[in-house]
Amino acid sequence: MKSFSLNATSRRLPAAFSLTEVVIAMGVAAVAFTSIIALFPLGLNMSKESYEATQAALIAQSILADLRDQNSSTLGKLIQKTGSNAMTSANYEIIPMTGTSGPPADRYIYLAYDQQIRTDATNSPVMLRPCASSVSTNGPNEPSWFQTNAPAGAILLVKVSIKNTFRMSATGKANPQRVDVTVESPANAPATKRVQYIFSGVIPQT
Amino acid sequence: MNLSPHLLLRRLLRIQNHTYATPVLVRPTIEAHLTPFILRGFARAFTLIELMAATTVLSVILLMMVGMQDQMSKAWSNSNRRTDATREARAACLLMAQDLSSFAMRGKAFGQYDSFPTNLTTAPVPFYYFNGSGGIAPGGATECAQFFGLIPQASKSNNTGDIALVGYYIASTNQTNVNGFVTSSYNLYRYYIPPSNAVAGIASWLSSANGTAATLFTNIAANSEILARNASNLQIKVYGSTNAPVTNGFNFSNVVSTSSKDFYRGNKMGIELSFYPEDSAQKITNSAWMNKTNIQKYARSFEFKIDCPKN
Repeated sequence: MKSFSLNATSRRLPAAFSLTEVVIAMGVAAVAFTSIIALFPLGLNMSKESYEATQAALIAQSILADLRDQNSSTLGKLIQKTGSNAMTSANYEIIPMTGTSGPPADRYIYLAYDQQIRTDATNSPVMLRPCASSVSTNGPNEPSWFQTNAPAGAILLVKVSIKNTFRMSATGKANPQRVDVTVESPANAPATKRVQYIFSGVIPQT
Repeated sequence: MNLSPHLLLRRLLRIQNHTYATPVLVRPTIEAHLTPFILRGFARAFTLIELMAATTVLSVILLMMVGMQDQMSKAWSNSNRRTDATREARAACLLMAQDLSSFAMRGKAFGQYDSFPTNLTTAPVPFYYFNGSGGIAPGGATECAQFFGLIPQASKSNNTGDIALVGYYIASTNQTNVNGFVTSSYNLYRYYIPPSNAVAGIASWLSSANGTAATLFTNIAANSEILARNASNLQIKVYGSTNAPVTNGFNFSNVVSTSSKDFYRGNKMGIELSFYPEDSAQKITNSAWMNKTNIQKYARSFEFKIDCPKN
């Protein structure tokens, strides 16, 4: 029995797979696994994209509604810049609609949105709210966080531009203002690699 | 021809001398080392142990693959359900925004414009909303807003027949399947009464000194349809000119300046909606449907603001 078992062992040892066989088998397995795993993000992306497209439309609508709201007869329009909707000056930036002499320059507002617990509602749902903002009253002036370093946790970046239209009032100041809202995602990607959702609208000057 | 049995066998089998080798002459170990690899492979079959090991490995891999396939199809259908929920939410938000922005709004001088009788001065627009319980919707869910208003169907006139009634609320519905199982789910409903049927309700409401919503919005269940499924949260907030919430309909804080140029301030509405994706909805019991933790954890929430134009 002892000699048989020794013989069997010595016979089996050399009868292994060759390197070629192992490489081919691993190659086949790798291709199969990769194609299966590649299907995972596909489904998840679909859901994410539809969510972001919906949120982008609603954000643009809210921004346009805010921009129609005016602070006073002389001061400009409002735009929400924090996570709270309460109508206080801490939560809303005032965007000037008139220049000191003649039409104002193009105004740009940059906003970052993240998921926040809404504290001023009964059920405190989690939803996208502004978490960072920057305003430029003389043309595009992107903050660094809009270009590369998005604030931590930010999901969407929003750029709002307010421009004069051709229709001028008697005093030489532009009357209705054209508003373009660009919602970009994902926030942590460089500017050239983001998906953009673009919305346009018009708001009255006063 | 007295052949030995051994030779007879060899002749019968036509075995030549030089091909015949008795197994005992060469030890298997030596043969194994001397014979070329391919020949050795042919000479030897798989042992039972090897086959069992291979089968085990194969079954483990197959199990893993089936598990992955299962996970993948679950992830796929869950993401489909999330997309569905988002799509329904989007449709609901759009229709709601459309309705809200065409709600009948009053001008700055109540009682003179918009053909509403003067008894409406205490309630600028026939617009009712309930944040929390106390609603009038059938099976009205607690912790859920309901709102109803009038939308003009034509240009304003002295005839109330040009306005319709519209409302939104969350309520539960019971559904019985073929096996008799009853399931209930919460949905977002839209209530709509076209001008042809709204006139009587509006007329009786306007004729009373203090009309209540219950007399205005009749047969709500019969006139409602599901707008989106698995709604768990509907909140509405009216933003006035100050931080104080507007509780009695819409008021425009028009400030008459010396240049007789009024500026528009306030009177935005914020709507907030949350929906559970179907897979989460199936797990959450009705009693925990409006639970804050569940909404935060499972629901997809949306918010939008609407500018309410004055006339």
